[in-house]
Amino acid sequence: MQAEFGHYLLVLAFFMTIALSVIPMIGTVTKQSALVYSARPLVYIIFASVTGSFLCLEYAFLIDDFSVTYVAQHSNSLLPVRYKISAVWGGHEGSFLLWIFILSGWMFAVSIKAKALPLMSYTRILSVLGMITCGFLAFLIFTSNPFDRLLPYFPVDGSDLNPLLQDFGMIIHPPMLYMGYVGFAVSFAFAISSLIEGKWDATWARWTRPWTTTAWVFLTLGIALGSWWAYYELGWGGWWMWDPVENASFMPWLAGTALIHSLAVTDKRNSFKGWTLALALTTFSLCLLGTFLVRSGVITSVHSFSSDPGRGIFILTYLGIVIGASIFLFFMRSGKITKKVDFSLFSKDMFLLLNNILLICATFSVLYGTLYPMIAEAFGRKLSVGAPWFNMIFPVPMAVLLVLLGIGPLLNWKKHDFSQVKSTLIKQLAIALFISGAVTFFNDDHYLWVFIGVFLSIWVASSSAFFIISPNNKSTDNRLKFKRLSRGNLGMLAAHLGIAVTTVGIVITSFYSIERDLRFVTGKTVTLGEYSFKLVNTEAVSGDNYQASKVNFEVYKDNQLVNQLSPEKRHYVTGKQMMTEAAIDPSLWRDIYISLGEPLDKSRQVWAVRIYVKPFIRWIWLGTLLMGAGGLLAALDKRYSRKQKITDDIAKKDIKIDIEPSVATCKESP
Amino acid sequence: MSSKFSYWKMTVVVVIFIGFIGLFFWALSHDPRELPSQLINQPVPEFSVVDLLEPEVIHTQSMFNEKITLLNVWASWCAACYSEHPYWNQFTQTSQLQLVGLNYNDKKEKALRFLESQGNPYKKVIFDQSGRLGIDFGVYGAPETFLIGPDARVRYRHVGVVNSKVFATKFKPLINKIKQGF
Repeated sequence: MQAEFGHYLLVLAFFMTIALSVIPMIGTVTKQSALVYSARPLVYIIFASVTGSFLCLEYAFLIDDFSVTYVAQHSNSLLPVRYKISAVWGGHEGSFLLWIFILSGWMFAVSIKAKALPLMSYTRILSVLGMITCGFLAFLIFTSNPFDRLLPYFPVDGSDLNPLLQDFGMIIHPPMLYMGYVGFAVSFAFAISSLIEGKWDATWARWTRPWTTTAWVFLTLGIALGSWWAYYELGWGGWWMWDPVENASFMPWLAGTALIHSLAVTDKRNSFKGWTLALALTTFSLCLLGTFLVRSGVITSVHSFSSDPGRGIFILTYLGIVIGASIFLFFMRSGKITKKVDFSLFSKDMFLLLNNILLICATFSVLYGTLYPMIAEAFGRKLSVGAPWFNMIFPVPMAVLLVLLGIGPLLNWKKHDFSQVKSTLIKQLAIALFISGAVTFFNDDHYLWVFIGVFLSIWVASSSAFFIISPNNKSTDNRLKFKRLSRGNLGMLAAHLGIAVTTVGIVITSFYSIERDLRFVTGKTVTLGEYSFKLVNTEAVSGDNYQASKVNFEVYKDNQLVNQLSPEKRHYVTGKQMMTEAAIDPSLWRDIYISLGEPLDKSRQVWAVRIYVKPFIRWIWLGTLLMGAGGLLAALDKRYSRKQKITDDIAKKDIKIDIEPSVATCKESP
Repeated sequence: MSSKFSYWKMTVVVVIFIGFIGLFFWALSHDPRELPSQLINQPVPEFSVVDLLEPEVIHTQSMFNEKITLLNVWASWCAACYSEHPYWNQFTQTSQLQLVGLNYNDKKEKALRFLESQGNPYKKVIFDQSGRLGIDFGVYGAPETFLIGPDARVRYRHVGVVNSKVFATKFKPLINKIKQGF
């Protein structure tokens, strides 16, 4: 019953999105208030029905309704309840329903939070979001219905959720990631709306900024969670593989990072307008491209969903329409975008322009590496691009970017006198050289890379410190200077500091990690670096849906017990799958990571064991948390919540007779 | 801004866009997983490549004679191989088939470390450091698994991870056919 109801709600939402795409849009052209005002209630209905549909699927999982194909494939009666809840997004159909649920959530949030926008823009934005949702809903209903039944013969029990996904990280990683992915639909809708209107100015940018930044925060955290999950769950100690699916989420992140910076210029200086609009369109297009790559099966990857050419064609068509239409619209209007280049080479504007160029270069190098095997195959050659290629190419634009990042924030808009920042830059340089030199001196290998990496991080970090006391800060009292910073500036500092922290983490962990594959006999102690590892014993344990061998280790440093670690080798009963559960002793300075290989004898007294000591690896995720916190602070800056002064002429121009200007602007106090 | 310039830019963007769509469309109809290798039912390519574990041993195509073989292409840089590997460890304990590994485009010490930590289910491991043999076999990316008949002809090619389900549906029927002499 709940499956049919959920399906019904999806179809209802589908028709409502058609209505939302058409009716209010016509209203904005014909200026009929009844049509224009239909937008918000339609959004409410869509949000309510998609939410209802999502809950129906959740319910089907919770009551173990294995007559629903999707439930039978991704759940099992033995599965713990928390994983039954998250199993909803354990496969293609359900995760896409989650995707649409989140998209409708964003749409709902826009309909509530953006009421102060001019009525016509507000309506158009919701209508564009309706179009996007409509396409996704059609995809779900026609090619990947999660409510399909297995009738009349349905299995007694389900075939279980992939054990890799039975994990806390997997409960929160997809929702976070999708929040980011679809969040860029909002900036896309803002951009399309302003292109339709033919009006783009600083106000447009100011409205878009908090939404874009919020989406970026979620995407940042989502990617970081995915990386953290891969690290502790996959059992080989890696945290980033340059897998096509990882790249699919990383490209919108890079473009989105460019977008939030470019929006800042448009907001503050009313320039870069065409570029910012193009970036908003590009970022969302990359999100769609990612969806296509992950869900169509054109690319071989660990994470990609089961392939179905019908689905691929559908998404490709959708992608073609959305991107094609936005390119068309953009070039229709781009002639009218006024260009303004009124900044000197040494100014914040210039540095943000370079930031954008470098980020776009980085995005395209990732895109190129991801698609290259496909392009090569089209020309009759077969090859795969692995992590080494990305590791060689990607750091180049990033290193240049970090150099600029240490200078840009200190500069004024429009023009800056080099002599003013000269002394600060020299101080920064001295600090960075000193610290990176010292770090390199006390380690004995990989001098050059570690030196460069640490130098760049300290360079950025010290620049952030100098920003607080820079002359741009109006307060004369140094103690007050920190307090005088706006949330936007604080957020920027936190995010930039996050970049520095992540960079240190990446560099140190890449070059100074120790990994050994060892043969362990029970009772034996093996020394690795400063640590000694003792295999104490092996016990048999069992969980809700698995049986496992748990091997207990004791870790000593200078004959002091550091920790007891117990990695497991699990055998999942239903899916008949073997899983390695690594044991990790985390700390700020280093992680100790033990992962079990195979038992080397029948009595399970001898094991092949892989041990890692990974210094600074936590810094990678710590930095992303800082970036996320920074983005959140920036999105909460007071300048966005200030009541927008809306000029009367917009209302006069848009609305002829039947709506009074005061109503038209929808000035409601928040 | 002159309108001519805008047309020029637009043409470039539209051409790139159409190129991408065309490429993706092509890629969809040439799904790498579905794509049968040109070698299907053809004899395996001629080769003579060293063994990974015993560098003095040289393997040639004759290693496939008289046995039904599964040739599994793997590499230490291949993330999917880590998730596929436990299946082969399990497989090799029960199956009578010859399981040969083709270590593709890899570094020796990394490949050895992979086998040490993940287990070695293979009877023999061909060490294709240059990737040359992989190209001759038409390898798209790791992991891939070829089913090779006792006449040293390639019978089936699977791109992506093999698990018990894939084996039962894709490999098992073919193996039964081969055993019956087809």
